Parts: sequence; C-alpha cells; structure tokens
Amino acid sequence: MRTLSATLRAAQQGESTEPYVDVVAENSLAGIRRLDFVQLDATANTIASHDAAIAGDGSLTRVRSDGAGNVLQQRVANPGAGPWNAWNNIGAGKGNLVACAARGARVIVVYVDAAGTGIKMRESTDNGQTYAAEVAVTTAAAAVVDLAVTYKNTTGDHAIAWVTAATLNAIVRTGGAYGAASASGVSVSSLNGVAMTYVYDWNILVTGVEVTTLRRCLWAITFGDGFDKAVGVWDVLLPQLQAESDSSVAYSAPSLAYTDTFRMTYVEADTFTGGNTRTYRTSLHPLNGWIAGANYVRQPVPVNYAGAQGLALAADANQAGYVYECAPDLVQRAAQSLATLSLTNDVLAVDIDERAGSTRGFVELDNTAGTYAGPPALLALGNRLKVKWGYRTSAGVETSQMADVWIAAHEWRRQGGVSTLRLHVEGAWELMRRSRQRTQIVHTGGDPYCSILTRMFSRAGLALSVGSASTRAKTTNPKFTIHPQTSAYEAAQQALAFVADRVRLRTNATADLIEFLASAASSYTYGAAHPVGEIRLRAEAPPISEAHAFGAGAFGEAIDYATAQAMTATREQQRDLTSASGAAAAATATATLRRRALDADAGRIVSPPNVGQEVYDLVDFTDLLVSGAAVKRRVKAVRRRYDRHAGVYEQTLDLGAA
Amino acid sequence: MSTELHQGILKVWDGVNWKADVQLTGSLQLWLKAVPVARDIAAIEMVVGRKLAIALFDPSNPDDAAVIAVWT
Repeated sequence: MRTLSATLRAAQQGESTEPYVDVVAENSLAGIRRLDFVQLDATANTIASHDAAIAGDGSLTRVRSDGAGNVLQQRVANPGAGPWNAWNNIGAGKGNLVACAARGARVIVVYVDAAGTGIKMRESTDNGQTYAAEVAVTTAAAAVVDLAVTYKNTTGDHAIAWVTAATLNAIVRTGGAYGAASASGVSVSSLNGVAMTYVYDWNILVTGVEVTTLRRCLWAITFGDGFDKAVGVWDVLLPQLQAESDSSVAYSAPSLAYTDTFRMTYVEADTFTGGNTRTYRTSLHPLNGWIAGANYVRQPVPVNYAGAQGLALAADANQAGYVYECAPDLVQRAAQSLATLSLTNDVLAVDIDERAGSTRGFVELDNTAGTYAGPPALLALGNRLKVKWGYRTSAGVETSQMADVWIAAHEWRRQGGVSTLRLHVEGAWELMRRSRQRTQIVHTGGDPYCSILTRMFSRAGLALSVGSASTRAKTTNPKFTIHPQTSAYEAAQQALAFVADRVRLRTNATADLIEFLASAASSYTYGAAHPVGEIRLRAEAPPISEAHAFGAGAFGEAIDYATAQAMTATREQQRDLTSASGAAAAATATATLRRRALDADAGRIVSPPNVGQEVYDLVDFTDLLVSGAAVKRRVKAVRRRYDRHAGVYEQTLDLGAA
Repeated sequence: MSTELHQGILKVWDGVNWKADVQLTGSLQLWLKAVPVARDIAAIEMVVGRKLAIALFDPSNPDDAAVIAVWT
C-alpha cells in the first residue's frame, strides 16, 4: 500500500469528507518524453557518413562526407530558421568517414585521412563558429570502418571510438592530452558501425556480425570511466537486436544520445523480397542507467526515412530545447521539455479499474466551453495521465498517485445540451499487450526468470524492479523463448506461471516483481476505523489442491492436504523441462500451488476510497457478526469511482485469498 | 499452459541428433534452434526450405517442442 500521511489517513476514515481527484496530462509515452518531430529541411545531398551536434548556444552543427574526400561542415545558429544550404569544406583530400560532438561552447569534428587509418580532429571553442587546426589523434591498425566521438565535460575531455573490420577501439583525451588507444578485445566476425555518448561511462552502440553464428547484431557495450566499469575497462558486447545469417537482414549506422533517457537510432536493411532499408528508433526507460543485459532496448519503432546512413541524433542539454534527427538530406526536431496540463477543474467523473493483468477506465471532462475540442496537444493519444486520488484534509488537499495510465481513446459526448470529453485510459499491462516482438528472443538458460521478465518489461518501455522477488525467481535459469507472435503480456504470463511472484504496477512506468507471502502483515483495516458501505465475505477452496511439476527426468509435487481431503479442488499438472532435479520440480510445484491459491474468490468490500490501496495489498476487516477475529484477505482488484454530479466517491475491492 | 501448433520453414537439418532449426512463420530475423524432430519423419524428407508443423508443448521452451510434419 502506498504510504499516506496521518492527516490523509484520518480524512479518508472520517464520516464526512470532501473528495479530491487530481488529473494531470503529460507529454510522456510510457516512461519517456513524447517527441513529435517536425521537419525543418529536406535539401537533397549525397548520402554518406554524417553526424550532428548541438552546441551550448543552441546552434546545430552538421558534418557530412561528400564521398569524395571532403569533410563538409554546417553551422546553423537558429535551427528554427535555417538556412540549410551553406556547407564549409573543413578538410579536403581526406577519407569518407566523419563524426562530431558538442558540449557547452566546444564542438569537435573527427574524420579519417585519405589512407583510412589516420584519425584526425578539429575542435572549436566558440560553438562551432571557428575551428582550430587539424590534430592527428592516432593511427588505427587497420582501415577505419566507422567512428564516433563524444564529450565528457565542457572542459574538453572526450573520447573517440572507431571500428575496423573486426575490432572496436577507443581513445580518451583528458586534460588536453590523448592517452593510449584501447582495444576492446571483442570477438566478432565483422563490424560496420559505432555510436557513442557519455553518461558516467562511455556508452557505445555497435553494429556488425557475430562471430561463429554470423548473426547480424546491434550491440551495446560500455567502456568504463569509473562508474559501471573501471576506467579504461571494457564490458562485453550485449546483443540488443539480432538477425540470423541467412535472414537477409543487416544493421548499420547506429546513433546514440542521452536526452531524458538514452535514445537510439539504427538502420535495418532487409534485402529479402519485399524488404526495405529503414531507420528505427529505440530507447531505454529513464530508470535504466544504461543497458544491463541482452535484449534490453525498447521495441524499435520504424521511422519514415530510407537513407542508408540513417539519422544522427543530437539534443540540447539539460532536457530543454529540442532533440534533432539529422541526415544529409533531412533535419527534423522535436521539443523535449516536459509539458503538463491540469485537468482537475474540469473533471466530472473518473472510473478506473485496476486488477491483475489489466488497468482500464475513463476520465470524463467538462467540455461545455469547448476547452477540449481538437483535443489539445497534451491530450494526444498515448500521453500519460497522472491520476491522484485524495481528500481535502486538515492539512489542505492531499492525494496519492495511482499507477500510471495512458490515454487510449477520445470520446466526445453531446447529450441534453451537455458536452463532455471522455478520455479512455489504460495501464502498463495494455502497453505489454501491444509490445509484440518483430523477432524471436531466445534465452538459452543463462538468465533467471526475474531477468527475463525485466527485459520483457524493458522491451515494452517499462522498468521492472525485482528487489522483492522470490529467491526462485532470482535464481532459476530457464530456457525461454519469446516468439514473434507473442506479446510481452503473454510472454510475461508464461514466465510467471513458473514462479509464485506477481507484478504490481507503479508510477513512472515502473513495476515491481514481488513474492506476496501469506504470512505478511495486513496493510490496512476496514470496518473499525474505515467506514464500509458493503461487505461480501466469501470463503471458497483454492482452485487446486495438488500441483505436479514434470521436469527433465524429475518430478515434484506440492499438496494442500486439507483442501485435498475436502475434495473441493483439483490437481494441476505442469510441464517444466527447466527442472532437472526433484527439488527443483518440487519448487515449481510449490510456486504453482501458491500462485493458484491467490486466485480464489474471497468477496468484496465497498467503501469510501482508501487512496493508497493497491492491488495485492493484504487487508483485514473486523465484524463480530462475521468472525471473532480480524479477517485477512488480499486485494485482487481496486475500482475507484468519482462522479461529481452524482456525488459518488467510492472504492470497490475484489478480494482473494491471503 | 496449452500446447501451441505453429507453421515453420526448415532452415537447418541435423540428421545426427534428429533436430532442426526452424523459422516460425512470421518470424523475420531469428530461428528456433535444435527443435526435436519426430522420429517417423524420414531424413530424406527434411529438405531445407520445406514447410514444417511444430508443436510447442511449452510455448516458452523450445526444448519442449517437436516437429511433427513436413511438406512442400
């Protein structure tokens, strides 16, 4: 249960209280800022290596190769106005690879020499207006295939990463001096693209072909700067997207930037019949500091851009201003600042039902003055609504924010001269249902259930915390495949079928994997202090009394003997090839018995809202006509209704076994 | 959890271990590896590119599956 202040708790238990429901719309999709890109320029230019960066004064620097050895640079002081047709040649007779970065007033352009092995750079300290002379950074051991650069700070510390045919390397400049080049030592068949940014460590994306399997890959890798990895230490390659060697799919041209979170683009070129070359966007949940495992990035979404060199990302600092996507023939940008719209004064009714696997409902707004015609941009489909249930207390208005909901549909209503806008909303489980994999995701037995679930949620744009998960969920490593036709919701249910844990949704597009124990203490008491309108107490047997798990040459069982004797439940048998010992299979059976016990129906409580109540909370109520002792039940569903005109402010809890 | 039946395409045939790598219909980029193949299917019929029927007894575990039919 969410923590409530003493005054809020007192108010919701009072005999006469004034309800307060606060609803705020926000420009965020799942956990990240919504970016609605607007095209600024589409002047045709040669599609070749390119990059973009935003200096501290808001100017946009673009660099590109013309494919003929010239390094072309463009600085647009006011990107909203252009112009976009002037390019400066800052390096003639060079190679055809370029990259750039900016931090504060510093802008750096890196490129290769005509031989393709010498890495050069030119730096500006006046926001890209003028550049110092070329500096020879290092000489690669083999021809450079792609390179990237990023600043660490405004004093000019930076790193340059480059890939050759099969090596990934980086060099760091600290205090004005370059150190020695560092080879990552990764073992790959080949590499074709690299992108980099800096958030405590050097965060890198790489594209290429995996060794042995020859799978095409988009990998993430960390080059340490003392946070996740020690200074100068490389992590391992973590595959985020993969394609079989004979799938006629290739990845290239990655780009990476940190805005409100890590945002990434890359090119997927499909050469099978009917395939296309297209840029895709993906990202991480903001709480994910960086990619912590395979298949972590959000389900990629296609961009209507077919250039083979993809889109370079650049952004103004500090989550203000804009995020830019640039190519030689395209510049587009989207505002990245947080925007909110309070709907509270126009809320006529709210009705939201939260339960296992679903959160649905609506928010109805007074549209008498046409305020919500259109509707306003902040009520766009997909945007987040922060719904806070509360009361006017002795300390003023106090509320408790429920798990996130997002706008799923608009419904304008005109009836009897009344105009309203009903916003249909849905929660994170519905996001999971829409997250369908384009590709098979295979866990080969090296990751526990909690990691598999974390990555499913991350693919859907959600952050799953596993701190309260069961030991079994944290330590049992199954072979697990998510098929392309399978939604993240279905896959999560398949994984949860082998553990006793349940998922509780939270705010900010987060969720917790928790093992809810029958022995836990009640979080709230109804009936004594908290008035109750209606109670229906039901006592029924759990759905199953015996759970059998058939493993790989192993059998395990768990039995509820009392229920079995009463013959009021059945036996459930489960295949579980992950379990290779009797103890492991018995653990699966025990988890199944516990999980199914929670499914028993145990009645309902209708009362004024306890605004902190959450699904899976343990509650109890006292009624001497029912029982001499407090009756403990687990909350299976919470439905809260607020109707200003009808004077309704109530909560219905569906109860299950403890 | 219920058994699922999927259509697929044979990508790799391992006649020693009697297993197959299978591209499920609708799968763009990755294939199921080492799926057990019904012993009553003749090896000569396991030609790469042919269509397969795959029963997934546990849809999340490719080891708990079988190729049960092959056709052109």
